[in-house]
Amino acid sequence: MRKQLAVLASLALSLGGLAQAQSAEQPQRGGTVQIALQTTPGSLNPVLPAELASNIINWTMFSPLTVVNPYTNQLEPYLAERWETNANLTEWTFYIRRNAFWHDGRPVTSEDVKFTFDKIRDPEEGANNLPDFRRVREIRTVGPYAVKIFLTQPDAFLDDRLSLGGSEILPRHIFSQFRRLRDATEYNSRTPIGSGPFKMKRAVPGQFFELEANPQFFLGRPFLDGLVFRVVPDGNTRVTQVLAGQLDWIEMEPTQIRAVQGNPRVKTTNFDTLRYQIFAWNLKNPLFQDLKVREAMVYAIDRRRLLQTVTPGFGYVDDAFVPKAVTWIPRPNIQFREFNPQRARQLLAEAGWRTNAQGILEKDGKPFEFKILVDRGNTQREQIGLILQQFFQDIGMKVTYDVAERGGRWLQETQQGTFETRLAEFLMPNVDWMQRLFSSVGQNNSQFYSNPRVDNLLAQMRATSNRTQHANFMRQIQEELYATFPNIPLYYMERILATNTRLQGFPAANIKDAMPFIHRVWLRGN
Amino acid sequence: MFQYLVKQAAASVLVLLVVVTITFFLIGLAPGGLGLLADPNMDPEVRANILRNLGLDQPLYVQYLNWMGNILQGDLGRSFTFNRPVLDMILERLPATLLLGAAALLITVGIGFSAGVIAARFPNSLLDQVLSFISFVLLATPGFWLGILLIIVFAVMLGWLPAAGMQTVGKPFDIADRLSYLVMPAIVLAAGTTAELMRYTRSSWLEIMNLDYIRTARSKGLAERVVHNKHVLRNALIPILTIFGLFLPRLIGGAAVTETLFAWPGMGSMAVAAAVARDTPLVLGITIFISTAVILSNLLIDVLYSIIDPRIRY
Repeated sequence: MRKQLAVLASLALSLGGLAQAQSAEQPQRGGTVQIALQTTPGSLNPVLPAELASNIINWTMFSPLTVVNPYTNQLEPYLAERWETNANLTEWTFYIRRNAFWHDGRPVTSEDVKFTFDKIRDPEEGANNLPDFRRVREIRTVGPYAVKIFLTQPDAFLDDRLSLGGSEILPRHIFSQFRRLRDATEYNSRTPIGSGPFKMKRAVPGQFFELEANPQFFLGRPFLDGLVFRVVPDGNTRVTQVLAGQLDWIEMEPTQIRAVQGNPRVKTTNFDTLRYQIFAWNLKNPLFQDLKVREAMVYAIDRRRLLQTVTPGFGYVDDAFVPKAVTWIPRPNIQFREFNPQRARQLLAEAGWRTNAQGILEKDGKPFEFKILVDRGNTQREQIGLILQQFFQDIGMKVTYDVAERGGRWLQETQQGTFETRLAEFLMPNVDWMQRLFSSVGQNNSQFYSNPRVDNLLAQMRATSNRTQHANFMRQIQEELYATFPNIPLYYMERILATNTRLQGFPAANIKDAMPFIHRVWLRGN
Repeated sequence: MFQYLVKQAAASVLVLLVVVTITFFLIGLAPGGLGLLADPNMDPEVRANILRNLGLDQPLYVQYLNWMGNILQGDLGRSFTFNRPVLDMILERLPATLLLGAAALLITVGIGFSAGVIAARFPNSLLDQVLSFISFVLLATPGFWLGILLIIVFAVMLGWLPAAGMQTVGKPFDIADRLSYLVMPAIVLAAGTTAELMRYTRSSWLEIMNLDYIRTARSKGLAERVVHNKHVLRNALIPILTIFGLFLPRLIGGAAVTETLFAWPGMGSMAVAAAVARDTPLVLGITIFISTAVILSNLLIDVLYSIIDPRIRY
C-alpha cells in the first residue's frame, strides 16, 4: 500500500493560519526589512554545524524538502511538492518541484538532493544531521525530479526530521569542485547560492548581510524586495534600534517590553517558543525511582509563582508534554497538579520517609539529599534552581544548588548520566522528539526514563505515517507520561516579538521558524 | 638608541611567546568547551567528527606544538567557528577598530589635554572646579550606561544619529553617513580616557609650575604665555606620555563593551565572541595582534621620551 500525504489539507490549513495572522488588507510589494542577528553567522552553509544566527539567515536562502509551517505548526511540502512511502516505511520517495531553481538560474534536481544527503551521511564531512541518516541504506535518483531513500529499518518520521534544519539541499554543481563541504570557504561565508526566497546580495561579516528577493522562488516571488540582517550583539541596543526605526523585527526578553510599550512605531506580539523548562531527575538514582516521591516533588513546587517570579508572567504552566500551540495534537486528558505541600508530605510519608530531629526527611537512616545541577549564565535557570531549592527544603529535603559551566561539567554530567537532578530546556517540535526524549533507547533521553507502555505506544506510532494516528498516539503517550513523572515541566516559555507597525503577515513564532515563510511577509505603505 | 631598540625588539618576541603560550593553555584548560559543542543533544559521533576535524582530539600539548609550528610559518590558522583564516578575519575588523580608536584618541587628546591645561592655568577657579566635576562624573560613569543614554537621547528621542552599526546598508560611501555612526561610540570610548588625561595633565602641569626653573623663568620677566608654552609644556608632557602609552593599546585593542553596544564591527567584540565560543585560534590571533600593539606602543613612547627630554638617553 502506498500512502500519499494530505498535502492539500495542510496547505488549506496554513493559508487559514496566514489569513488569521494578518488583516484583510491586500499585501503590498516592495520595501526592505531589517532583522537583527545576535552574532555573526558562523556558516552560510546550512548543512555544517552552526548557531542560531546562521540558522536564521540560511532559512531565507536554502530550501529543505519539508518544513514546519510556523502559522500552523504543521508539516508541509517545501522543495518537495509531495512524498510517499511504501507500506513498511522503508522506502521514501520525494518529488522535487519542477519550478525550483538555484539562485544562479540552474534547475534544482534530484541529483542535488542525492548529493546533499550523501554528504550528510559521510562522517568525514562533520554534518550536524548525520544521526538522522543512520538508517539510510541508499539514496537513488528516479529521473531528474524524484529521489528514493532506502532505509535499513522502518522510519515513520523521516519527513519530520528533514524539516528541522541542517538538511537543506545544496547545489551539487558548486560543491562538486570541492573535496569537502567545509573547503568552500568563500561560499560558506560570503557567497552562498541556495534555492530559497531570498538570495545574497552583499555579505560584510561582522556587520550586515544584504539579501534580495528571488524572483524565481518556487512558492512565488516574495512581497519584500530585500532583507538586511544586521549583527547587533547587545539586547538593549536591539530594542533601541527598533525604537529608532533601524530594525523592523526583533525578539525581546519579557523584561524589555516596557521600553517599547506605547511607542506608535512598534508592535509587540507574544509567541509560544514551543520550549519548556524542566526539572529532571536522574532516574537511575534509587532515590527517585519511587513514583510517590516524584509525585510529591511535583506537588512541592508552586509553579505558578515560579513563572511569575522568573519570567515574569510570560509563559504558562502545564503538565502536558506538547506545547499548546501544536494544535494538531489533541490535548491529553489530564489536570494540572496545583501546588500542594500537604499532599507532598503525605505522599512522602506513604513512601516511608520520616522527618528526623534536624527536620530532614530520612528513610532507613539515610537523609533525602541531592544536588540540582544548573548551567551557569542562564539567568532564568539560575533563578529557578534557587527557588526550587527552597521549595524542596520546605518539605524536608536537603538540597544543594550546584552551578557549572554549560560547555563543561554541566554537559559532561548530562551526557555521562552522573548528575542527580538537573535543570534543562526541552523542545517538542515534532513527533520524532517524543521518541528522542522519552523512548527508553531515545538518543536524547538523558533522564534515563524507561516505561514499556510508552515504548509500546512509540513503536506503534513509528509503524505508521498517518498524521491523525500520530496525533492520537501523542495524546496517549502524554497521558502515560503524566502518570509516571519522567520529569517536571516547570513552565512553557513565551517570548515577545517587537516589530515595526508596518510589518505585516509575519507569524507569531520565533524569527528563525518564520524565515522559510518570509515570502509571505510584507510592508505596509510602500 | 638603535642598539636599545634591537634589544627591546628581541625581548618583545620573548614576551609575545610567553603571552600566547599562557593564553593557549588558559583557554585549553578553562572549564567549558567549544561553543559549537555545547548542545547536550548533539550526537556523540557528530561531536567526535567535529573534534577530529578541528584537531581537538589530540592532547593539549600536541595541539600547542601544531599551532606553534604553523605560527612560525606565518599561518595564524583557521577559526573553529567560522572555518576562515584568522588573519583574514582580523584584517577585516582592523579598519573599524583603528577608525574608532583614532577618533577616540583625537577626542581624548583634543579635549582631555586642553581641558587639563586650562584647569591648571586657572587652579581653583570656577572653571577649574567645573572641569574637575565633569571629569569625575565621566570617570565614574560606566561606558555601557553612557552609551545607552546617548542612544536613547540622540537616536530614539531626537532621531539625529543612528543607534548602532557602521554605515547605512545599501547607501554608497558617504563621509557624513559614516561620521554619524562614529560619533556616539567614539564619545563613549573616549569619555573615560579624556577625563583621565585631563586629571593627569592638570596635576602634571601644576607640579611643574611649582618647580624652581619656572620661578626663575618668571623672575626673568618672561611673559606668562611664554613660561607655559616654552617651559611647562615640554616638561609636563613626560608623565602625560606615560599615560598615553597606556591608552594606545586600549584603543587599538578594541573596546569590547563599546563595540558590542554600538554593534561596531571591531576586534574587541570579535575577541569577546571568540572567547565565549572558545574559538582558540581566533582568540590567539587577536592576542598576538593586541600584544604586538602594546609592545610597539611602548617602544614608541620610549622613543618619544628621548625626543622630548634630552636627559633621557638609551
